[in-house]
Amino acid sequence: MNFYTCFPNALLHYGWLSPKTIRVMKLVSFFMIITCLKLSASAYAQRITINVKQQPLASVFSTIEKQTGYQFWYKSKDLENAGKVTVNLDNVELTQALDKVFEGQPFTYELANKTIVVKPKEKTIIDKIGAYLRKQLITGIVTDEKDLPLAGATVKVKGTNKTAQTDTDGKFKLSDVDDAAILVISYLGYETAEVQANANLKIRLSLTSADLKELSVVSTGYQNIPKERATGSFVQIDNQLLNRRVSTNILDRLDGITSGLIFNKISGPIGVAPTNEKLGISIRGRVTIDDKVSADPLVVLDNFPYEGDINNINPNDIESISVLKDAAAASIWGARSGNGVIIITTKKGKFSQGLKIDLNSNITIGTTPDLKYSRNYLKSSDFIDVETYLFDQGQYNVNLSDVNFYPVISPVVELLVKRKADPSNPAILEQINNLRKVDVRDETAKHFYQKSINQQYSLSLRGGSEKSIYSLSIGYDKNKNNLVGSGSDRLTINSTNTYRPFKNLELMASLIYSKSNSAIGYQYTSPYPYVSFADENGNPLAVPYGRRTSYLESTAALGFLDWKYRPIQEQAYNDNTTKVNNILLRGSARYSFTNFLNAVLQYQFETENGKIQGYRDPSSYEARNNINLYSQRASNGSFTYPFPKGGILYLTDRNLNSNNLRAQLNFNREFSTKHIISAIAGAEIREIVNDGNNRILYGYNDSFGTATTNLNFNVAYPVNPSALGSIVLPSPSGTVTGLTNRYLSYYANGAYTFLDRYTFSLSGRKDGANIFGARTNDKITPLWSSGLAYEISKESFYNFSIIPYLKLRASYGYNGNVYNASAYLTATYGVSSQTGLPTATITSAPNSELRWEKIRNKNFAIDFAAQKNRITGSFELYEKLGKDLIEDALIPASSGFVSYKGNAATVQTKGLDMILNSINVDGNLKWTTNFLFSYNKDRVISYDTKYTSQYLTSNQANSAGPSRYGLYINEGNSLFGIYSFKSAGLDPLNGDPRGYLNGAVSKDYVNILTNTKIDDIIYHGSSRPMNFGSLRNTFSYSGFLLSANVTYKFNYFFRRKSTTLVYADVLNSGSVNADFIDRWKKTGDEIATSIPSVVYDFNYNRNTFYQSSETLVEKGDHIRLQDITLGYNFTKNALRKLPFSSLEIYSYVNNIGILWRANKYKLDPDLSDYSFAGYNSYPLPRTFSLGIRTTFK
Amino acid sequence: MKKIIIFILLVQVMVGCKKQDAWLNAKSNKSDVIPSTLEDFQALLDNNSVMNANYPSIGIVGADNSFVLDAVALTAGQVNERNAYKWSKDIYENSLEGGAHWQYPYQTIEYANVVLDGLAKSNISENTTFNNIKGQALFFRSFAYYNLLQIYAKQYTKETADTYLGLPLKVSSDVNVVVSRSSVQAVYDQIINDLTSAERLLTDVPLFKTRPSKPAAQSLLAKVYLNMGNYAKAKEYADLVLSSNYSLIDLNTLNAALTYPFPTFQSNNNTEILFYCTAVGLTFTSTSNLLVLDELYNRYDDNDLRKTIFFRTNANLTHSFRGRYSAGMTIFCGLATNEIYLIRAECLARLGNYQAAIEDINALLRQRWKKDNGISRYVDQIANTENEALNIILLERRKELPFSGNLRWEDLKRLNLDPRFSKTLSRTVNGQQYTIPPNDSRYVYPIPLIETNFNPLIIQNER
Repeated sequence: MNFYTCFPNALLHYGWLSPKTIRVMKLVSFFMIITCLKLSASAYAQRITINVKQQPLASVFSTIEKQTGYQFWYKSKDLENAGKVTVNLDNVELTQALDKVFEGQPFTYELANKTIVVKPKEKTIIDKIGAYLRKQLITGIVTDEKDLPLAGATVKVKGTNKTAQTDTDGKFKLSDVDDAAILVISYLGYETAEVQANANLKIRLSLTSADLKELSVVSTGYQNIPKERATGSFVQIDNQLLNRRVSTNILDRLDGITSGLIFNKISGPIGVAPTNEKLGISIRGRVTIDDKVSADPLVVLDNFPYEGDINNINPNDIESISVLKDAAAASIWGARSGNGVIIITTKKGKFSQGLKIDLNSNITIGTTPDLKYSRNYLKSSDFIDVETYLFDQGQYNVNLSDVNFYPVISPVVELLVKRKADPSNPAILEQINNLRKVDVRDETAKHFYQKSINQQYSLSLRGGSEKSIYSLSIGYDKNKNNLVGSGSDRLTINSTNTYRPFKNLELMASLIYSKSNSAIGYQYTSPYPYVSFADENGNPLAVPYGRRTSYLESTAALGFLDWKYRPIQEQAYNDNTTKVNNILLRGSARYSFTNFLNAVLQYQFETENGKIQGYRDPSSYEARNNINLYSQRASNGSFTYPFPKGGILYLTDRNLNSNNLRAQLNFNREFSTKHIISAIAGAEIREIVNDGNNRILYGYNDSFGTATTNLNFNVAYPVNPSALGSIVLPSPSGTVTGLTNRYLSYYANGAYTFLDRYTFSLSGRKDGANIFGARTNDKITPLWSSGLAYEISKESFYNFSIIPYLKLRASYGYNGNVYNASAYLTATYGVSSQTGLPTATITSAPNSELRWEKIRNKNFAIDFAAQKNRITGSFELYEKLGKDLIEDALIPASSGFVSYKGNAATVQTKGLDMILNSINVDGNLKWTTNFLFSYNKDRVISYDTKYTSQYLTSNQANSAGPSRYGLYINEGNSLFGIYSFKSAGLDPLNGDPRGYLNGAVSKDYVNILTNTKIDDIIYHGSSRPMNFGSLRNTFSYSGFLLSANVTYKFNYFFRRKSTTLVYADVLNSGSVNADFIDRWKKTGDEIATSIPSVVYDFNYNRNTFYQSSETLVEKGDHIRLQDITLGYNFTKNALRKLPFSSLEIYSYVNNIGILWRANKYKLDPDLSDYSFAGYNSYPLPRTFSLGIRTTFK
Repeated sequence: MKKIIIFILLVQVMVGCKKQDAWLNAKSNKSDVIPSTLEDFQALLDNNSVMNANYPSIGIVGADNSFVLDAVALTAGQVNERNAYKWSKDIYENSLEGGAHWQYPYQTIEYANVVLDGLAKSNISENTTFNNIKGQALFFRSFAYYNLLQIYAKQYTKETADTYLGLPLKVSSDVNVVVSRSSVQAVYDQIINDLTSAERLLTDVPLFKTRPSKPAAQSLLAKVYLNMGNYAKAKEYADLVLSSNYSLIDLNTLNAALTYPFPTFQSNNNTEILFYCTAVGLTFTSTSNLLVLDELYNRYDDNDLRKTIFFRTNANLTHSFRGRYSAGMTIFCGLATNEIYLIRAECLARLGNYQAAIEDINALLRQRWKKDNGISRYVDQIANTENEALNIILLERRKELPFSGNLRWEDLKRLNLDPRFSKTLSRTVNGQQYTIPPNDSRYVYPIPLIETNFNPLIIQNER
C-alpha cells in the first residue's frame, strides 16, 4: 500500500481528489456495503440441528445459513440489541427453529426466496400499552461462587441506559423494566452474566478463570491481539504477578518471573556494566557488539517508547507488562526492536463502572550491608606485617625521600621510620600493635552504612460512566538507602480521562507527572585496614590522603588552609542531588467508521528535566585542596587566593523533549465466523531532543547564592607543592550539548484467522532517521516478519484427550538496531584550552557503507494445556542471527585511526524458552507451581579482529585495545567468552605457578603469554548463564497466600580475583586480596593451595600468567532463594462491616540467599570482585516488607 | 466517508514527501560538522591536543643524558619504556602498549590529509587564508613524518636512503588505503617538497605559536637538511630564520626561583619559540623520574645560568630537568631559535667557515651566562680547526638542547656515522650492565604492534 505519496502536491495538480484517494474511497464504500449486507450462496437441506449455549445471534444465523443455504439479511447495528441464544434443537423444520431462535429477541423475521429478512419488532399500540403495563420492578441479589454477596456489581438493562449497583448485601433494585428485557451483570474479576429480567433474581457470578483468560490479550503497543490469535512470542505479566514483588522500580519486578529474560547484574568478566546495557536486561541473549548500539530492550509505556528515566514510572500504576521476544511480535517496532520490546501498560478505568478506590502502602527495611563479604581485604595485622617487610626491603625509600611531591605515607610506615631512628622506644611498637586490632570495616559500617527503609504509598481512583472513563492515581515513595546520605523520594500523578461524546468517537487525554529527588551519599574506601574515622569522643579523625601528613602540617603552619582529609566530615560537606521532573501528555482520538474499522490519531509529548547539583562546602576537602593548591604566599606571609575561597557548586541541567505523532487505521472483522481479519496500517513521526549544559561556580556562597566570577583562566599560577609547576585555574566547561534524533516510520500489520484455528500474520515496517550525513535513501530500512499459528486441538481429527488444547506457532522475520553515528568523516567542535581558538576533533573514521544492524529471528513454539488446565505451558525454540552487526574493525594506525565502525560481524543466539504451570492441589488448599527454564547459547560467527591469546585471557580492560566493555571475542565462541591459560599447578620447590608451552610444563612466562596458540588456551564458556529460570510455588488456603521463588543460573563462568604475586604490590588498593594469606609458603603447601608464592621480585609476567590462568576461573552456577511472599486476603464476610470491598495484608522478604553455588569461596556470582576495589562491594542486603492493599467500597 | 478522507489527508500532510527529506536531514549532534569550510579546516589544525602534542619521546629513554633509579627501571611505566631503557631487542613483548609514538603522529598526518584533500576538493578561491591553511597542513604532515623517521627508520645517508626502509607514506585521507613502507629517501623527498611549498604559502607571523609559520617551515627545513647532511641547504634556511624577528632570551632576565623558569608560549615572552609542540609523556621522562647524568651536569660552568635554570637539585643530590620551553612538566619538542643558531654553527663549521661558526656559539652563550651590569661573564671561545670548532659546537648542542624531544637520540644516530663523534652507550640496571655500540640496529625502534598486527604490508625493523 502506497498511501504516503505526495498527496498535498496531487491536490494542487488534480484539484480536490486524486485517483488514488477515489480508489481508497471506493474500497471503503465497498467494505461499508458488505457490512450491511450478508451474502451467501449455498443450498442445503432445510432441517436444522442446533445445540448452542449463550451464543451471539449472528453466529447462530451463520450456522443456519450453513445448514440450509438460506441467507440472512439484517443491519448489523440492529443485532447489537440482540440477546444471546440458548437452543437445543435436533433435526427440526427451519421455521420451527427460527421461532425458537427469535424467541425473546426484539426481532421478527420474514422468509422470502431463500432469504430470511430480519427486522426489528414493530410494536403496535396495544403491544406498547401491554409492555407498559407489564413493566415491572426487578429485585435481586448478586453473589459470588460461594454465595457470598458481591457489593458494587453493575446491573444493566441491555440496550438501555438503565443501571443499578448492588449494595453491601449484594442486592439491587430496578424499576420499570420491560418483562422481556435482558439484564447484564458485571463485576471486575468475574464473568459477565446475562439473564432474563425476572421478579426475584438470584445471580451467581463465577470468577474469571485466572489461568487462561488473564492471558487473553497481548499488547504490542500498536494494537491488542487476542492471545489465541497471536503468532509471535509474547510473555504477558499480569497485575497480580507484578505485585508479587515490592519495589520502587517497575523493571525489577520482571526479574525471575519472565521466561527468556535475564538481568545481567554483572556483564563480562570484569564486571563493568557496558554503557549500552543501561537497563541490564537482555531478552533471549545479546547479539549486538558495539557500545554505540543499544543492547537494551526498547521500553514502551502504553503506546510510545519511554525516553525518560525508567525510575520515574510508579509500579503501582501499571496494569500489565508484555514482553515481545521474536520478530512477529516485535518487528512492528522496526529499527529499535532487535533486543526485544517491553510494553508497559498503565491501569485504566472502564466504561460503566462504579468508582473504585484502591490504596496500597508498604514499608521495606533492608539490613546493613555485609562489608566483611569482600575478599579484597587484608586484616590489619597481616597488612602491617607486609608493610614492615616492604619497609625493610626499602620499598618506601623513594617516597620517603621525595620532597618534590610529598607522596602519601601510611601511618604504619611513618611509625616504622620513627622506630628505625629510635629502636629502643617500646611506645612505637605498642602504637603499631594497637593498630593491629582496628578493623576499618567496622568503622565503615558504623559511619557510612545504615539499614535501608523504603516507604511506598499509592492511592488510585477509577471509574466510568456510559460516556466517560476517569482514573487518577497518586503515588509517593520515600527511600533511605544503605549508604548514609543516599536516598530518594518520588511523587507520581497519573490521570487519564476518556470521553465518548458521541457514539463513534472516543477521545482520551492523559497526564503522567513524576517528580523525584535523589541524593548520593559520600563513600570512602580506606586503603589501610587500620585507620579510624573518629576518636573516642566521636570527633572526626584525619586519614592520610593527598600528600604526606608532614607536608600538610608544614603548610598549615605557614598559614595555608587546613589540608587534611577527614572522611566522616566529608559526609556533611559533599552534597550530590539530582532532581528530575517528567511530564508526559498524551491525547488520542479514535473514530469508528464502522464497528470493524476505526482510525486513531495519537499524540504524545514528553518532557523531562533533570538538575544535578553537586555542592562542596567551603570546609570540604575538595574546596580546601583547590584553594591551597593555587594559594600564593608572599614573602611577608600574606596570601592571595587565585582559586577563590568558598564553596564549589557543580550544576548540570539536562532536558529531554520528545514529540510523537501517530496515525493508524485499525481493521478488525469477522466474516461468517470462518474468517477473521485484523490489520493495522499507520505512520508515525518522532522527534527526541536532548540538550544539556553544565556549569561550575567557584567561591560559591550557599547562603547568598553568589560566586566569584572575575577569575582569570589564562594565567598559570605557581602551585603547591612547587614541583607541580605553574597551572592555570581549571576552567569550567560551558558547553551546551544538543542531540536531535528524528524518526519517520510507516508500518502495517495484518493477521488472518481461518476457522479459529489457522492464523497467518504479516508485518512490515520502514524506518527513516536523521543519521547525520547519510543520504535519506540509505537511512530507510525495511524490516518485516511473518508468522503462523495453528490450534491443532480444534481440528475434528484431534482426539488427544489428555491435552485438550494444543497450538503450534512459527514465525520468521527481521528486527533492527539503531546505530546513531555518522557514515562520513565528522568532526566535533570544541575550544582549545591553550589558545582559546575553536578546534575540531575528528570523531570517527568514515564508512560510507554504514547501515543499521539487522537481526533475523526464527521462532517455533508449542502451547498446550492439559485437562482442566492442571498443566499448562509452552515450549519455544528460537534463533536470532545478527548479520550486519557493527564492530570495531581494527585498521593500521598509519591510517590515522586505530579502528573504524563497520557492519561486518555476525553473532547467533539459539535457545529454548519453556514455561510449565501446574495446579498440584486444587480445592480449599490450592498449590500451584510455575517453572521457567531458558536455554540460550550465543556464538560469534564472524568477527574481524583476531585477538591474541594474551588478550583473550587478560582479566582487565586493556586501555590500548579497542573499547569492548568486557567482551573478549573469538570466533566460534560466546560473545562473553572467558579464556584462560592452562595451569600445571605450583612448583613444589618455590611455589611458582606453572603453565604449558608447546605441551610441556613450563615457567617461561613471557613465552607462555606471547606464544601460546589460541587453540591451546582454555575456553571455559560464557560469562552469562546459558541455562536459567525459576521455580515458583504458591499455596493458598482460605485467604492466605504463600509464594516462594527460587531462581537458578547454570552453565557460566566468572573470574575470581586473587592476590598479586608481586610482593611490592600486595597492598595496592587495586590488588589487595585475602588469598595472600593462603599463598604457597613452603614445600608441601602446593597440595593444599593453588595460590602461588608471593615474591619480592618485579616479575610481572609471572603475575600476569597466574591472573590469566585457569586456576582463577570459577563456575558461576548457583541456585538462589530469591524471595518469599506471604499475604492474607480478608474474606467478603469479614469485610462486611468494614468500608473495604477487599483487603489484603502482605509481607515480602527479598534477597534471601544462595541455596547452592558451585564455587567453594562463598562468592556471589552476581557480584564481581573486579567491579569495586576494596571492601565496599557487598551482595544485595536482605529486605523485609510489610504492606496493605485495599479497595474501598 | 468524509472523515476517512480527512484522516487520510492528515496522514498525507504528516509524511508529505518533500518535507520528509528535509525533516530527516536535520543535524543530530549540535557540535558535529563535516569539515568543508576554511573555518572547519583551520579548526582542525588548531586542535593543538592533536596537532601540537604527542610527538614521539621514546628516544629520550634510550639517550645518554639521563638515567632513572633502579626501582623505576625495573617496574615503572610501560613495557616498551623499560625495554627501551635497556636497549632490549624486543621492546613490546607482544603488548599493544607503546603504540602512542606511532599512532599520534599518524593521527596528525591524517588531520593534515583531511585538510589538504578537503581544500583540493573544495571550490574555495585560493586566497591568503586558503594558502595559509594549506601551508600549515603541509608543515604538520612533514613535521610528523620527520619525527617518525627519527624513531622508526635508519639514519639517512645519500648512499643508503634509497634502500633503507622508511615509513608508510600516506598522502591521502582515505582510511581504506593501506600502504607499505617507502624508502627513507622517498619520505625525505616528500618532507622537503611539502616544506618548500609550505614555506611559500605560510604567513610570517602566526596568530599563535601552535600554528606553523614561514620561519617555522624554514627552521624545519634547516633541521631536515642538517639531518640529511646537506649543510649548505641547512645553512641557507637557518640564515633565513635568523634574519627574521626571533631573538634569544637573556637567561639573566628569568626568575630562577620559579619551579619552571621559562615563560610560556602563550605569553609571547619566550621569544625563542618558533613552533610550539610537545611529546608523549612517559613515566621514564617525568620530572621526578628522569635524572640528569653527572657526566652532563658537571660540564656546565658555574657561571653558566643554564646550570641553575635548567636543573633542580633534589634532596638526594640528583638533578632533575626543569628548563623546558613548555614551562611545565610536558616535553617541549618544537622549534626554537637556539637550535637554529646551533644548526647554523654546525653547518658553517662543516662547510669550513669555523670562525663564523664559533661566533654563532658565542652569540648564543653570551645570553646564557651570568651578566654583571649587562656584560656577560662569558669569555668568547676560539677554534683553530674545523674539528675543534665541531667539538665545541656539538658539546654546546648537547648542553643547550639536552631534553628537547628526541633531539639527543637523533644526534647520537646521526653522529655515530662519523667515527670522530661516534659513541658507545652503557648503563647499569639492578647490577646488570647494558651497552649499545655505535650504529647498532637497536637505534631503530621496532614498529608498534598496532600497525604490524593489522597491516600485512609492513616489514618490521630488524633489531
